[in-house]
Amino acid sequence: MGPIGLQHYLVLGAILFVLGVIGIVSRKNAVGILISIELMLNAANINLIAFSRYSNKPIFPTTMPEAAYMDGQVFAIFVIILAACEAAVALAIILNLFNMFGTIEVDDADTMRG
Amino acid sequence: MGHYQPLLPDLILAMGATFILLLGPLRDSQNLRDFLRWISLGLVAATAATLVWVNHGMATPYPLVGEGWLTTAPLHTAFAVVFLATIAWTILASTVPDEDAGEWYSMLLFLGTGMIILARAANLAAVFLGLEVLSISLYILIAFRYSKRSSLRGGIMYLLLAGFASGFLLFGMALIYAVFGTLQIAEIRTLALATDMGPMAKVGFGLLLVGVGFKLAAVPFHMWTPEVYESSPGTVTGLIASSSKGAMLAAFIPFLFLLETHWSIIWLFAALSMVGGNLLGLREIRVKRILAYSSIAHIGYVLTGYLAGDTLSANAAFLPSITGVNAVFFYVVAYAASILGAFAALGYIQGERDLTLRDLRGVGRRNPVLAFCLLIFVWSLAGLPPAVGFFGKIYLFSAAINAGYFWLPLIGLLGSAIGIYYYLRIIVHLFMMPADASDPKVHASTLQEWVMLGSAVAVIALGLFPETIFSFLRAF
Amino acid sequence: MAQNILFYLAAVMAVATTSMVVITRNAVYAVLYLIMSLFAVALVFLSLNAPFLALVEIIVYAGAIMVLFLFVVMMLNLQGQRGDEATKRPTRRQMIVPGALALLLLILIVVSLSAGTPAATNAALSDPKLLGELLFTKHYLGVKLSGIILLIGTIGGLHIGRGGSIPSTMEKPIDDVTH
Repeated sequence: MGPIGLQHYLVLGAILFVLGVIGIVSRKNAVGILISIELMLNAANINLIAFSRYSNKPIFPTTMPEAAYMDGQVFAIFVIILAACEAAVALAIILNLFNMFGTIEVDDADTMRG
Repeated sequence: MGHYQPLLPDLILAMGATFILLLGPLRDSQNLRDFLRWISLGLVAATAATLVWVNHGMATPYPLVGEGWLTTAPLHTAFAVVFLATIAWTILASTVPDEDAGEWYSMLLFLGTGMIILARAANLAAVFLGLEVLSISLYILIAFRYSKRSSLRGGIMYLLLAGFASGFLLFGMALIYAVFGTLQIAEIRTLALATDMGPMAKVGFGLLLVGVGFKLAAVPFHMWTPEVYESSPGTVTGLIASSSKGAMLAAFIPFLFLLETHWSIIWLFAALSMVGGNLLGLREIRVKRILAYSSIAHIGYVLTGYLAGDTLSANAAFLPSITGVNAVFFYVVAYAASILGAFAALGYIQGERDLTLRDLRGVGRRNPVLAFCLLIFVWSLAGLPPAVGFFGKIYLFSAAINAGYFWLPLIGLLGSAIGIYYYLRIIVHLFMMPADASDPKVHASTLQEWVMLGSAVAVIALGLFPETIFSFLRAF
Repeated sequence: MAQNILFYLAAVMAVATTSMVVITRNAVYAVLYLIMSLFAVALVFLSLNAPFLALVEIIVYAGAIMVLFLFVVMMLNLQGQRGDEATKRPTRRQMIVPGALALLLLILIVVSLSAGTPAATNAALSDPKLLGELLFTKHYLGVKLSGIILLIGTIGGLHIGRGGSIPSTMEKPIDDVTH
């Protein structure tokens, strides 16, 4: 176990991201897909925050002031806000769909696959 | 005040939208609805005027405002004004029940806010947040008819796909941020051009491209298009097809340097979209889906121009004064003018369930004005002279040839030739087929007919004087 | 060294629970595993010297968003399951994996809290005050946009959610919204 570096966090982020993508492709119901989207956003957050800490060793040396490296953390806050909002709208639609029509399967699941 | 002055347009639009939302529940009357419509229109006009006003006197080529979040560069401002015009058009052309007017118009204004932010974003976080303001308003506008199953399904489908795309986009942004250590697009551009990008940056930009590909619905990321287009209200479909994609294109103009490393992927997107979109449209009989497939092909044409980049090449053969980006601007205007009208017109015609070609029969006799407008829009989409769509394609393809691409314009021409078949099919069904037993139902108010007529005239006029669009662009 | 162990354990936790989110077919379990995964990611944030973000992750993400998910999932009774199948008492064997994961999570939280904040590469950057200043000076436009996003989300949720509370037969038809 060597010292933890930026790469470790990037690998962790990548694993979580891929798990999210697998989740999206393998599911048919809307809530399942939504949960997997949250996983993807979360994985990106790890990367954003990881860089705030390892800012004194950027892969490209920059001339930015120190505090500029907190941009990643600020961005992560915005991402969390967005996740909350998207979930609220999505769940409203899903709940409505279910109450009126009794299903939340995304019927043509093939259209959801990239 | 001076410090915040460049943000005035965004403030006017967002605060105006909130204001309209508050006025909404006052009364369920038609008067209030009309009142809200004109107020919204006034707000959009005021925003456009302030955009032009605050833009003046900016000397640097890529001026930044809002602590580096937005740019007031001329091209981006011009894009923003065009998107505001599409919002204004939609406000006039859409019909909404009295009790929902507040939500509807305010949501359209929020959509406009997202578009003008995205079009002028100078920072990865601004790209992301602008895109999300745009997307979330679109989810709501698509699912607005909350008692209709198709509309709710369209909404959730677009939401899940856009969420998936944002995931890719965000992860790509995070990798780019990790490599370059900054969120400012201009700085990333400088760093990326100065040094050799490592593999991580390439992966980051690749993921960014996947996210953008989904949002633009370029083949192979196009599967969601027909379903979502079919189930949205007609005017909203027009916005999804035109300005929401256009805002994305505008936001990524500073990233055109990517062409050096990723051009083959974009080339492939463009070629596949032009062929795939047109072929898929051939066998479809549901009219909105035909136009959905055609919109995929149109994204292919636009990407062809995008590939030509933002510089003039020295050995240009055709129309040497037009860069790829300018051609893209022209095409976005031309396409928006045609597709907004086309989808809105289809929205006014009521089918049994999904609107099929059969439902169009007899519309030419029943409502000649609307049918004539639809004819002009479809004519322009097919890229036939003298409509504006024809010149759009000429500019795009000549810019691509000037930049040294040969196959792509050729594929584009072949694709357009295939496409003419299904466009003409729509026209034939409109005018030449006898109507079935029942008369087609067409609901369009006088105002809406005038709006349609106005934009049909605009499509022809811009086709006769295509230089107008470039002088508009130069005015900024 | 303790720092390394904390990271590795939190990372393994995060990967394990996230895999369970993807693997499990039961939506209620998926949400519960996702909550654990968010806790693990919060620990990763803590090891990254971002205590504020770690707390936001737990309070907002796990606390608010996931509970919203859980409510909706339980109201839906997904995938044709009887309501009691999703909520009935699990057998002892079913408890092993989640139980072990939960125990590990608890140990991790206790350890990381008692270990104090990790030695920072640039210590000043863990300061929530700095984050707040940055948020309201350099990124004020982002705060404004976030506000707009939250407002839109609220309006949308209220407008679209309105249909769900009324039985569809009593619903006033609004078919004339922009066809």
